[in-house]
Amino acid sequence: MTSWLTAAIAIIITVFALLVILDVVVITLKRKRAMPTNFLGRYFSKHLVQFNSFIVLTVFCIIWIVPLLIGVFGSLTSQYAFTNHPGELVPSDGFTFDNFEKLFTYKDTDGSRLPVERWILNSFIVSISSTLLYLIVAGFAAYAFVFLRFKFRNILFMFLIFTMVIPGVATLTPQLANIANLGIARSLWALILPGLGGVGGLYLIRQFMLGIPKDLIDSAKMDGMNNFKIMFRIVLPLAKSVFFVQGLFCFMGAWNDLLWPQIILGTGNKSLWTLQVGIAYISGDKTANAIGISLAGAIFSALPIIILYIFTQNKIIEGVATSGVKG
Amino acid sequence: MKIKRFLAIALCAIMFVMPMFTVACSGGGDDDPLGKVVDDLEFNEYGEPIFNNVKLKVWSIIGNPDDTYFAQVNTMFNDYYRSNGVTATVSPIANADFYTQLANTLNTDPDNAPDVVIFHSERLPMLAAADILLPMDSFYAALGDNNTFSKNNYVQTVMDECIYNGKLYGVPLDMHAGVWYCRQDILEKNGLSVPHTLSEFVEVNNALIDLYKRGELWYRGLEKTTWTKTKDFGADYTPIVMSSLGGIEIGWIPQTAVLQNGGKLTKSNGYPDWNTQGLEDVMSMLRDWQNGTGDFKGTPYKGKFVDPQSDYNTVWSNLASGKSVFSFEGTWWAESRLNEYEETLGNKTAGDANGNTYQPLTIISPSKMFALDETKPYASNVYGVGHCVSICRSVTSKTKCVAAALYAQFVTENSEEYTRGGHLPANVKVLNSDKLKSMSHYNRYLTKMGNPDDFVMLGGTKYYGAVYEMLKNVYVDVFAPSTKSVTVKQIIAANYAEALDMIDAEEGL
Amino acid sequence: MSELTTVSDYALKRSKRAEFFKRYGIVFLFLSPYLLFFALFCLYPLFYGIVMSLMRYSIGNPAKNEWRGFQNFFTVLFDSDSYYHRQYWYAMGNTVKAALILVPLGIIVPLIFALLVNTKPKGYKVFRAIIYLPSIFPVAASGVMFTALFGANFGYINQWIGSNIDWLGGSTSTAWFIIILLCMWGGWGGNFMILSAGLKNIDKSLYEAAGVDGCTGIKRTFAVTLPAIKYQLILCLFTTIIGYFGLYGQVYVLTGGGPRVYIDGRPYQSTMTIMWYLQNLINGKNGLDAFGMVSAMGLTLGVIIGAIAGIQLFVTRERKSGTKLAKEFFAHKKAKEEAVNIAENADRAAETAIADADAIEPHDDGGGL
Repeated sequence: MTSWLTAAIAIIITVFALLVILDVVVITLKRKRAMPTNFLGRYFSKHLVQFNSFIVLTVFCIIWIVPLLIGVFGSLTSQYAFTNHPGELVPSDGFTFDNFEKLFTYKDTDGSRLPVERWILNSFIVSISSTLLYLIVAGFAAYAFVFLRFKFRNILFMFLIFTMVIPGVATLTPQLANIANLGIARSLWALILPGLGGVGGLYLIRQFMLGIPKDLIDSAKMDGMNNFKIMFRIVLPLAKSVFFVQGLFCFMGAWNDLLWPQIILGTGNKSLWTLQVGIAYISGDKTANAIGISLAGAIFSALPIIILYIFTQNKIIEGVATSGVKG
Repeated sequence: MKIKRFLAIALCAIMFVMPMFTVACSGGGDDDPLGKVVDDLEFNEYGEPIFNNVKLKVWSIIGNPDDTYFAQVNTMFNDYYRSNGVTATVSPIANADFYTQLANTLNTDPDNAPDVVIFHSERLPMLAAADILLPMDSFYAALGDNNTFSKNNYVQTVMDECIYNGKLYGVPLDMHAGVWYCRQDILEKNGLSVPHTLSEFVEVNNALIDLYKRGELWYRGLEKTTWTKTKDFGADYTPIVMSSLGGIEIGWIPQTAVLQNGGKLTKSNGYPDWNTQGLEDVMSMLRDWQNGTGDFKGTPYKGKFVDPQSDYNTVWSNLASGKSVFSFEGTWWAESRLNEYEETLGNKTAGDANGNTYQPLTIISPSKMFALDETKPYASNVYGVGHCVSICRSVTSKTKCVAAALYAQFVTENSEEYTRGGHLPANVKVLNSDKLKSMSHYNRYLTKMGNPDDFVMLGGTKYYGAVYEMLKNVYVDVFAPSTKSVTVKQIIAANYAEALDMIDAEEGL
Repeated sequence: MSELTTVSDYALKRSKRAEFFKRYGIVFLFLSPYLLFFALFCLYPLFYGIVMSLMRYSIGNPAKNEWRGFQNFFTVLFDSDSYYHRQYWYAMGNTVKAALILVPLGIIVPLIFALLVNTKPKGYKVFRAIIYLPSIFPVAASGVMFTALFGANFGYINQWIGSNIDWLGGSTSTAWFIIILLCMWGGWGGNFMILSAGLKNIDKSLYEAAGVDGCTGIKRTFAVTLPAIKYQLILCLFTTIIGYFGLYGQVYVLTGGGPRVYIDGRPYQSTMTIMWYLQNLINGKNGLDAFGMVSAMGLTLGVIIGAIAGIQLFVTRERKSGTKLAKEFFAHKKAKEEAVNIAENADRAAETAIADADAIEPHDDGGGL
């Protein structure tokens, strides 16, 4: 066992031991009503639980991001360091961007460079357009399911929910035939359109809209607003956060998808590929079958998602968390 | 109310009927794929077929690095036939899902389907049985007196693989096998010679380990080109490195082991036939070797068979550093690796007292390398796979079919350039051509892959998965730590039984 | 006279029809785009899949496809001699065992951390963000990271602790251990978010009332907090079970189904899950004819999942059980029911979305078909 790992484990154990001692001391002092009245005393008598949580969460989060650190550091490690000095988080021959460079300068079999920037563009086209289209289509449908009255409304909705339990693999072959019959098999439409029938997002948006008071809608109707106006003036502003959250889920789903684009786009036309397909192609190649390249591919292909998450994580989380209070 | 109910019922009905309709329609009851080929063939006054701008779409499973060599052959075809009105474009599709993708594209998206496919010939019976390919005999026959194609122009065993139910479904392009890459310089510097039989192989490995343990093993690497003696490779020094479990060796070693000990891979009805004593003996021997127990013909093993610290990351790096002497890999690496080693080490004398230079890397044919009795005639057999050129069901014009047949004939008869990718030509004329023999790679590595007559193929089975994949499992499980307690006999029996079950299940569908 | 009746009938019909169109026109306008896509890309393939499951369906040559009635289902369910039957139920057994471990872990651990974060220690937003972070990665990417960590020879873990354990190929238990770790790492951020949101929305007055009754600490957690997020817990349970029945990506990227074990003289892939098996059947290595069988298997799986989900909904439907204290505070709760209800709706929805995202994830792993 490496010395720093032993040290780390020792530190963790010590921290937890100290924490337990602190807890016992504070609780005992509290019982005896002998808590010191200085700053520390006041702090711990009030915030003991928070302090405990803080320590536990700190330790946990450090462990939690280890695989991520491995991903980042590993992608900056040369193949030589991997095989000759395995296990070094900071490689002895220094960090290198070779693995990333290789992703960009990878030569295809006919000697041409692979259109990486085209893949990035495709990924953005597919992710953004499928997200926007789905939000529009499912938003209107959710509105209909919540605020419009029609026969079989609930039965129809139950039926939609029911179809969710059938695993995708049972319908894969028909879906392929379907896409081909529609004549969109070798285009980006094949990645954008099938997602628009998804039930999950509709369910999410509907559930949220159920929380919007019916009175609000009824009085709006009394005022002579038509459904489109209600949708855009009342429901949309109120349901902003759920649209945002669902939009992010859609975007992530579309961006991260690999199997379906691989099947449907085929291997022939590389300028149609999405980033995930391309990265899988490069890091799966026999001549570059190395862990550093794979890690670089993983990090690189997830980069937009990571950036998106960093900038919006509070919105996502608050969106989910506060959505119930609004409306 | 009524309208809605009606609509709902109608919608359901449509949803149900539509797929049925599609299923029924796609059937058509036409069992003969040739029946859909329209005879639009016309001839000029010399009896040659007239091609009017025929464009052949070719899907090829030949991937990096060897696809560049095939691209050259394709260019030759285009240069030669463009004036006659035929051109071909190759898309390399080196994915594991080549066959599913092919079948799916044929059925669902025929516009994008290929006209010609180049793929591994051991899968040909499977594709032929599924009517994915067209029988080619009639297209050659249509050429009449101008036909120069003959099955006899191809190596017999490879040609047999391309014939299913007596009909020709593909033209064999090449045959190839996994080979041992060997650091010849290290062997020679240490006074050893390149092994060519199993017993020599074991001997050399024992000798290397002996030298190493005495601290007298000379070595040099690509990055450190001076000869030095070493004891720094750890206690478990093993001269053999492979990408243990999942590398290419699982596709060659057990197969070759069956063939070199008198067995066959496939019965004439396509069922597996590899549950032989020979396989069991070789696998037991390799397992003993790996465990460091037992002996080979009286000589105890000095070390392990494969470096347990090896995986796909180390196959080439250990060989390059001189830590390993043998590695089992595909021949498509031959040219680039030999170049790399010869450029770096070829003329280096540093550290050699006599100023000698050595051939740094060589290739050893698997022939006799897995035979327990080297004197038997079958001991020199080599399990080979090949690529073949076939015509897809998607082609419905006879003119195009004939063009495709000519393409298949042309690329196989002019495959000299392609053989640089480490493939022996399946065409006898190419094999014996002066052009090939005068090429630099011929003696450099092509002849070292084995005698073309020794190549034995899978044996024409449409149950490719059951026969081939289950045999791979045998090899993996002999070494896998999770199956240590299972005997070799049990492993073979279980996988063989499973293979039969798979075939039964497939047949029962 | 009769003519007159007809005319008035006609007028009535006409006005009815006008009303019908007025009322349903807007429904049609709002709903039809979605339903069109749903019918085209969800319903049609589903019905086609049902049709396929009744056939011997080969993607090699559809001309040779033929009807088999319910033979495929019979084989899957009853024919114990069949290779398909054996492998299917072995895979199903593996999946159920994995779910039995993963589902409790996937609820309790996120719950603990949601409770910790809910105490709002300093920087809790950072903790929350870090805990959810791995969930945004595609399985393929996190799989590569885990392979780098747990690789037998060059993996970081083995180097750090100085062992040479073959984590992924060495034995069934270590392989499953790593798969479960990856499922936890990249998979329960969603549950964590739902439960956090639920906890956040618990009315403070509940706690105050509990405090008056001398109910604090762990007791309060069980008596007040947990009953208050009952809906979130049920929904997490529901979607987690469905999610882990679809376990595929983690197995694909880490172990590829292996290592193999021998049971009754037959080899089995010890980390083979049901979805992995189905994908494996149609990847082309095993012939091109099994597509009808795979459809039948997929539908059977769908029915099983549906049944489990149904039982679950039935068992956890409005039951006012719980501890005495929970009952005491029921009145409190009721007063605030609407707030909680809304929260529940939103959270249920969010959960579904996450489950949806999970359902997409397993496809993110390259190769495959």
